[in-house]
Amino acid sequence: MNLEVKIQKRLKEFQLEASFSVGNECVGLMGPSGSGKSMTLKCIAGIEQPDSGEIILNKNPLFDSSKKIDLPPQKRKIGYLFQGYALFPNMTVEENIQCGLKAKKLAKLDRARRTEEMMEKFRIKELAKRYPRQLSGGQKQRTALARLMAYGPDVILLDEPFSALDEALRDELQQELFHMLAEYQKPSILVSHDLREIRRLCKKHYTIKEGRIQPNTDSAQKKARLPL
Amino acid sequence: MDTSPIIISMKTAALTILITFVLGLLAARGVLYRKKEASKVIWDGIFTMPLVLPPTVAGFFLLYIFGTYGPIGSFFQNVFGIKIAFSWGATVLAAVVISFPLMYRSARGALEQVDKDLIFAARTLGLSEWSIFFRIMIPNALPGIISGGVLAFARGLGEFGATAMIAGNIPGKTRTLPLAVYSEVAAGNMDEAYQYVVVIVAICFVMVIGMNVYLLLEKKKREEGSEIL
Repeated sequence: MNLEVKIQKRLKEFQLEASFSVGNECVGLMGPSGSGKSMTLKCIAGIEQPDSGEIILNKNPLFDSSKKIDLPPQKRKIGYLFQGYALFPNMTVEENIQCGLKAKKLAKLDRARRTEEMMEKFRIKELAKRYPRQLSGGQKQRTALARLMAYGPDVILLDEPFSALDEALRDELQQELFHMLAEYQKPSILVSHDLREIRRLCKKHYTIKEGRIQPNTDSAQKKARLPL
Repeated sequence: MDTSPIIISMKTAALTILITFVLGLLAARGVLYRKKEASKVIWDGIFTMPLVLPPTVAGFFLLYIFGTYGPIGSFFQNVFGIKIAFSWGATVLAAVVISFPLMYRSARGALEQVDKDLIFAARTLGLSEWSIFFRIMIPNALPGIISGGVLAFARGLGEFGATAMIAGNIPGKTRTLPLAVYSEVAAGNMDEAYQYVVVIVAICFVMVIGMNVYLLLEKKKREEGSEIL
């Protein structure tokens, strides 16, 4: 799979100009807050509209301003992990995971099986009947990841996945996420302001500053990732 | 005491809230989904008008539109042989129009408060816009929506001005509780009026207290849940 992004969008403070491509790997997007990282992800997911440019997944345009193509997020099959996880407070862990499967019109039995499978994989089976407000930060992240993976996305976007967690938990969850992404084998993008975090999870990364992707001069990139 | 105003009022208020609740929610959704700011402002203005206009003026417009010679009134008269003005249905019509803005505004406020990321997340998970409305937005805005419903119900029950204009004050047919109070006082029957007043005050008080208890329980439920960990 290959995701190509080439977008322009006028923001309040500056012009966002993102242009990069992602193969079957995890690519990091590093930059301070307010640099346009999250906006880039939102444009890829279809939550926000770029002013111009194109977003192409495996030769299929998700967005193309010259051809006036703009698929709604519902048709993009892009998994988005929100900063605060965005679990539905009115649904249990189980219902949260099933939610997207219902939209896919999977048969009831398949939905239940897939939900079980995901809860087992992310070790949240005993939390099935709990509501998001009854979960710890780490459990919330696992639930959000389970919900996203259950849907079977073609691309995964991770927006500051560890910023809501305390230090002690971060290491453990970074490890988990690393294994998940290694297994996933499709394009994924990790947005963070923390270079260490990005180096741990991604082979390759870009730096973004005031909406522009900087040419990559980071020599450490060629080196192996930090030992986990 | 003639109990017909109580029965008429309860029937009117019950049917009114069913209609107002649905229309108010749909109107709130409709306005929220407008892309252009200008169109939002204009629709919001139209939907809020009955709240800011004097009820008699709203009633005047209703009479103008639904009266025997009005565009919709004459249509119903000629095609179905139904007379809208001065029928029981007109009490519902008046109460719906007057109570609608309260429902609409509360629902809109409550729906706007729902975390945008929840809606975005639902979209990336493939949920259709209508299923997001029913499964994510309404459940997470429920306290605000219920309060709006209670306020709209109370407003519909107390509707006087527009009802008098379009439905009149026909005993046993369109004379609701507020109109009965007015009529009894006008006729000098203070004792009769007093009894109707007690009924209205009792109903309204119970409802508002009920709403507050519900909101309190809802709040407690949320707080308790987060204490488990």
